[in-house]
Amino acid sequence: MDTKDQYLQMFFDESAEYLQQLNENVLLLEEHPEDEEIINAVFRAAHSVKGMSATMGYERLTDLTHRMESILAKVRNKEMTINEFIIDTLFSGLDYIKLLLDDIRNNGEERTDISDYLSKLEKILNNDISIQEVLVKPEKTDLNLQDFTGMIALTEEEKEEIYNKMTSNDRIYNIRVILAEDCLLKNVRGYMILKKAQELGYLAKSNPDQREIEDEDFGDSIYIKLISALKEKQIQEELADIIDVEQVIIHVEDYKVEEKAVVEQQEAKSQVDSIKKQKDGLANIQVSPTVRVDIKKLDTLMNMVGELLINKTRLEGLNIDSDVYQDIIQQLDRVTQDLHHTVMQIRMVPIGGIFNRFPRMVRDLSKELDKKIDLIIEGADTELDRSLIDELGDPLMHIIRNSIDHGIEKPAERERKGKPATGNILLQAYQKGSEIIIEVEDDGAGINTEKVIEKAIEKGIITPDEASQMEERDKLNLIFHPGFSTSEEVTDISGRGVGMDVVRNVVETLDGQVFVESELGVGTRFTISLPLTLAITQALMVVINNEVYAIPLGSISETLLVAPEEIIQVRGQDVILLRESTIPLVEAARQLNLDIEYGKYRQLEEIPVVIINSGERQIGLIVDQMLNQQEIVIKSLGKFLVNIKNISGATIVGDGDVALILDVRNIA
Amino acid sequence: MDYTLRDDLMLEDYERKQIVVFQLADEEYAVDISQSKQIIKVSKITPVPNTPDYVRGVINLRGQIVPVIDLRKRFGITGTVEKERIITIEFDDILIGILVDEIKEVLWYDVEKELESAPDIDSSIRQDYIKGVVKKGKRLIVLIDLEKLLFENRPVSA
Amino acid sequence: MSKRVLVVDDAAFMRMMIKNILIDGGFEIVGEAGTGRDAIELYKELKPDLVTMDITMPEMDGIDAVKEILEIDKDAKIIMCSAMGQQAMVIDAIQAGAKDFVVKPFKPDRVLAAVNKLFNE
Repeated sequence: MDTKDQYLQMFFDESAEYLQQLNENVLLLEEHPEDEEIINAVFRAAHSVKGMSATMGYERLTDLTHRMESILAKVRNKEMTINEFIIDTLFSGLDYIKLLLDDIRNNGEERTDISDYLSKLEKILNNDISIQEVLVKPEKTDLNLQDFTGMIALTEEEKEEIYNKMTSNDRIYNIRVILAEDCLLKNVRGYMILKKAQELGYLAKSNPDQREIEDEDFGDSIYIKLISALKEKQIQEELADIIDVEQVIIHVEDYKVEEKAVVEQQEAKSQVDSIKKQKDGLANIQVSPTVRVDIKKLDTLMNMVGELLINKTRLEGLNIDSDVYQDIIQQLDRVTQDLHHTVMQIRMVPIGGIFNRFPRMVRDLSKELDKKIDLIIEGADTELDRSLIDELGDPLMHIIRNSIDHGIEKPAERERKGKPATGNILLQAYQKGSEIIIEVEDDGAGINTEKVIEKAIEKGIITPDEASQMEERDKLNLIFHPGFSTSEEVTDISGRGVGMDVVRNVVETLDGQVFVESELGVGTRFTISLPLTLAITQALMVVINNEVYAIPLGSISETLLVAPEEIIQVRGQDVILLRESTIPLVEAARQLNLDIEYGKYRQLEEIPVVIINSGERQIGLIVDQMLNQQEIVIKSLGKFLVNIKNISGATIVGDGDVALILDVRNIA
Repeated sequence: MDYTLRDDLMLEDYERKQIVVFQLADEEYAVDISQSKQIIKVSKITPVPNTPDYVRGVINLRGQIVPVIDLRKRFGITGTVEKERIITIEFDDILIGILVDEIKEVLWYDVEKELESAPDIDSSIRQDYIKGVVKKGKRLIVLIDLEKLLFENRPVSA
Repeated sequence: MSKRVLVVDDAAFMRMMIKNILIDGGFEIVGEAGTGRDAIELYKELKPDLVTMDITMPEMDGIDAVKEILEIDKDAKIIMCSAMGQQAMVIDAIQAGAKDFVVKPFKPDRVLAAVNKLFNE
């Protein structure tokens, strides 16, 4: 024992010295992995420490240094090559050595548990190549999930609790915090992230939970459900500011089908009280007391309003000659419009829902292309009709992809141009008057109109003459021309070829507009404008003489396929018997005065007939083909063509073509 | 544009106007450039029933429904049509497209020296719809009175 | 004016590394300590803008030192220098009031990022 004490001090001194040497040398080894001298130096130091530890009887130190020595021996014999993983492992070993030494110094014995580390060394020694995969934390989560709400789903009770706690200014944020790959001490970072989240609001749920974070039992992401009154941007910045946080993806939770829609709950009680004291009238103006509504019921309500509108239209069509009737019709018109408008308001949904997939896409794509890009999202809480939300996703994705592919330059090139190495893409949504504006703006290379013209001429879209007369704006608009992008160039995003022309088509079917501004070398901005409220209706699409027409569903009673034998002649008119009613048949083409041969339908085996409510009667309208039922946006024919018989308007269909809307109220 | 100071000074001496010249069958016609908005290649025109035959149909112009007038039919000009272009015109807040064979060029003409009044010229369309004729060397370009043309409903053949 | 830093680690080698990184980053090293006890004394004396603190040290470890320093100066900016395997202790340190941590072996950009962040808030 005395000997031990005597030697203890020397042991500490020397091992401390060796440890320092080891640290220095492993660092050098990292830079010069092939340098034999360095390898030897490390080997010798490890060997010495092993010797001393063994002599002093410190088992763990001995085991540890022994294995490190063995690894280095293999490296020296060229049986193993140094790579980053091994360097990291060696450094860990040095840290453990220090810990053990500290243990001995402070407590007289080895305390730190190094069994995990030892087995790791063992695996390396056995050249277990799969070790690297084994030791990387298996992903608990599906990283490809764009919508990660499932990761932090709440139970009904949890939801209740939250909705009750929320104030009007609060939003539910679903946040994914992605840690850098080389983040060390992940559990500490995780802890810091949760801590910060708690500073920013109420932490409703986290996945991994606290325990799992402490155990480092998670992949590269921490999912958080946070209730906060702070703005999305602020939360994002605060969380992203934490060291080792690679990216923070936030989306505001829009209340979907299986959840209850919370329609605002203000905490204005004290304010209301003071207002009450001030003025009588104000107390009644209310600060919106609220009610929770089941989304399904909301949809039903919407459908019913739709039917109401349709029936109102039918009622109008009766055209009864009576003042009282006219009066009622006017009132009815006004009320149904208001009702429609109000329900449309309720259908509004924050656009953040479709924005949330983009940060990940930008990150992945910019990594793939070796570009540095910051995606800034603003106005994610801007609301639009839910029917627009689905449609806009792909066009926006295409525009952003374009920005990344062709807009933002590689860092070296940007720096040459005097721009910061990291490019910016600003995705912004806001309301302007009666429109919703969505902008995608980048500070990239801009669109080279010269090249656009070249390409357009090459593809026969314009002639050189026309090109010379075009304004800059029109040149830019050429990119929207069908045929501008060929299918080989266009990346297939959603299973269909997508080009700028499709983007335009989609936007136009939504009764919106898209245009582009660009300055060479400075950047490009795409702007999509959509009307705030849409005149939408359900329609049956039919073909008449090779043209597509839309018949508003409200006018339709049913559709049939009639066999020629079923047609009876009554007073020279073709009719059919439908459940004891006689329904006259009218050929749509004839009604529209189309210049074709009439009556050919008699030669068909099955005749498509649309039973229409026209005025008081029912008419069977014969068409060439019945296509599908769909929601259409009603557009006016303009001021030039007014009062066209049988046509009430137009709509733009998927491929950008115009389909006319039939007005069937006064047929025959 | 490339106007020198000299041209501006000369404005007091004569007036110049700019026109878009296009082809219809064998003749050249033109409309005032201030009225013409855009030149587009013909894509799908959806025919509209119950309209005069010179209304070829409607097109989708950036989300707006725009009617297209077939000038040949309007003027009663026959002959084969190979190419077609649409010039969009706007006045009085009304946007319309007119269908022509081919766009030739944009010209300046001197109102005093190069414009002649209609009756002097023999043309295949009714004189009412002609503002005049622009003479450029041997070329005779018929200047159309759009307003009259579009808003009167009679057929136009002479 | 450069920010003044107190570097605390019981290994001279480690102190050297941190010092170099910080000096390169434009900081001024005003003191070094090898134990928690010394760290506290020097803090009182020097009142540095920042302290980098090792976790395991003889005579008083980093966590205790953090606690005492924060009692002296509740706004003290302390960054823990941790080794692998010291997770629990780092969390303790942060709970005690340390602002951030860096892991050995030090990556200069990480160290500077963490340090600079403290002065940007």
